[in-house]
Amino acid sequence: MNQLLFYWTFHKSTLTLNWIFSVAIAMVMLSPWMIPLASMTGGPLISLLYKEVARKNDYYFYFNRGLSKRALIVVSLLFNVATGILLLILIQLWTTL
Amino acid sequence: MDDIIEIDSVIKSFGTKQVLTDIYLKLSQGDILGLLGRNGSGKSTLLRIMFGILDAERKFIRINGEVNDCPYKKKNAICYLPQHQFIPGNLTIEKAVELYLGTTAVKAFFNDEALAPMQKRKASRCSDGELRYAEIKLLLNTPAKFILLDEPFTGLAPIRIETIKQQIKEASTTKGIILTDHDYHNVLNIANRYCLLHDGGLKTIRNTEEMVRWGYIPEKKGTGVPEF
Repeated sequence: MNQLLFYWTFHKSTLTLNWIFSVAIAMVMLSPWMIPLASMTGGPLISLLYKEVARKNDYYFYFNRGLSKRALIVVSLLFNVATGILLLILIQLWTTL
Repeated sequence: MDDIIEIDSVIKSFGTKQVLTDIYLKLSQGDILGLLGRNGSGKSTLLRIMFGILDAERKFIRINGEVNDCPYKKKNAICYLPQHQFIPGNLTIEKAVELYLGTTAVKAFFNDEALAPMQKRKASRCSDGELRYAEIKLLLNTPAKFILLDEPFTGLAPIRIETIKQQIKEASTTKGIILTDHDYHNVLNIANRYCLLHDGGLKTIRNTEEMVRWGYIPEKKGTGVPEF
């Protein structure tokens, strides 16, 4: 349970940049479908890249509790995929109604 | 039985420069090991290899005799204080303490005149010295058996340095602790063992003369170098 909280904390720290990027892409492409698609692909990539360049030391916060960088990234990507699929379903429902 | 971590046969190079050459280091519960060395001598590199986040050309790490390549992944084995802040800026100090020590430990943790004002503050809003103090205290309060402190006193006010030294001493009754610091005076009056990284090798230091001999400090006369 406690480890899950650490994964969630890490994932939350990637969300702001991810969603700014995803919404921006959707606005440029004029397609709501791009929000979930970008939030599963380019958004996390941009967020993780930013962490790698500007917030690299934050990883120690998680290392000290036994979590590896690879595990953090994989779990965060899984959270993004789950959220993205949910959003895709919601948009599909919204456009068919 | 006391917990022991050993790191053996460590070889690490950056490019053509070999910074660590066949290093052996043993740390037991109750040890406060002062790791000394000039800038660039490989102190942080050695600590990061020991923690398990940096690879080496060769290394053997054992915890209580059991080989372990990545000690940081072993539950409650080891913690590392890096030179720069590690609590993510978007977290409040309280949240970081909750995650590390549990909600029940929060009240006791902030029952400290230096930490009480920071409780609800985000890490990004704390000064370097305040954050350093909180981070050291946080790691010393974890159940980890070994704590590696890389320049813990940097940015701390003198009064906080004394408090931290006291807390390190108290924590060492149940943990093994390594600390490095460029202000070696701070290391000298707290550690109970000393090692010096020199030319890639690790030398055991028993007195001030040996530090002079290895070129770590100048000759004693008139320099204010403290005795052990």
